[in-house]
Amino acid sequence: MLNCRQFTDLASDDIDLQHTGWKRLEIRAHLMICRHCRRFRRHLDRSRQTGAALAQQLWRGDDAMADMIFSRINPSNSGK
Amino acid sequence: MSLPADDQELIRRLKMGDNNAFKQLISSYHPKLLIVARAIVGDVFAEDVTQEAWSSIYKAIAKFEGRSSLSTWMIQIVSNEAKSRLRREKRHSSFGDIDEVRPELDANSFNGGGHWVNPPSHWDINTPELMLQEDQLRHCIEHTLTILPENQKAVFLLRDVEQHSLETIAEQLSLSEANVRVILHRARLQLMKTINHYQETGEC
Ligand SMILES: [Zn+2]
Repeated sequence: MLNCRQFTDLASDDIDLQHTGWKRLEIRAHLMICRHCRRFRRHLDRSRQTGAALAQQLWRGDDAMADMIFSRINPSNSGK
Repeated sequence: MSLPADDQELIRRLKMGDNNAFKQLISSYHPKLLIVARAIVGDVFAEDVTQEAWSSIYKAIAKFEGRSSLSTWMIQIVSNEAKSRLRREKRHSSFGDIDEVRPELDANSFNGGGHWVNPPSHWDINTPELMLQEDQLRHCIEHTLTILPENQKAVFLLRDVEQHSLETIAEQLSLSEANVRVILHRARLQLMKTINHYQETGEC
């Protein structure tokens, strides 16, 4: 039977629905009886969502960056 | 979450050769393409490779057929550029497949039988919306995202932000799917650690 440590290794794959068949049942069964691992999974999932929402804002350029990159591709501009 | 690249109106304008639309695309995607390039070819060539990728995207955008999302299509182009640069420079990928299978939580989280001794504690700030309203926590997460190793940054970006399939990501980054999963889990654990620490201490 799956223990907590093993579950935490599988938690990301569980979030991404990578498990099928017996493995999936084992994971469901463990989560049913273990509130710590339910919380762990919930925290991991929310961390992922929060990180993604912030990354979406963080990993963006601005107009100046876009103008610069663009000037180097469009032959009618100053670029190569 | 509606991404600019899924915007049908934007795609229509791009295909018509609207340069302002193209600049909008650059502004939304340049840092993301750079992350992917860096993960494949390393820091030195990443800027150059990404610039080349934008030229290719610009030339090819009229022929974009929408069989994949615009995001997947652009990442594929930057990934191809990066891989061919890698071959030209006869360099090895900055991150090959990794050996270790288990991303470690704190070793003292579990006892010998694999049960929790330090179980996860309750989080007062509970939803992504609330977490992002908390300035200090926001800062902590930003910092963590910024200092993630390049491979984790790229995999997290492609999976949790751009929502590509694990199979697609493995192909884009020349990794096995198993490795993509391990790297992704590490990135998520790192974010969770940061948030958890803040929930417990109010600090990064
Ligand atoms: Zn458990």
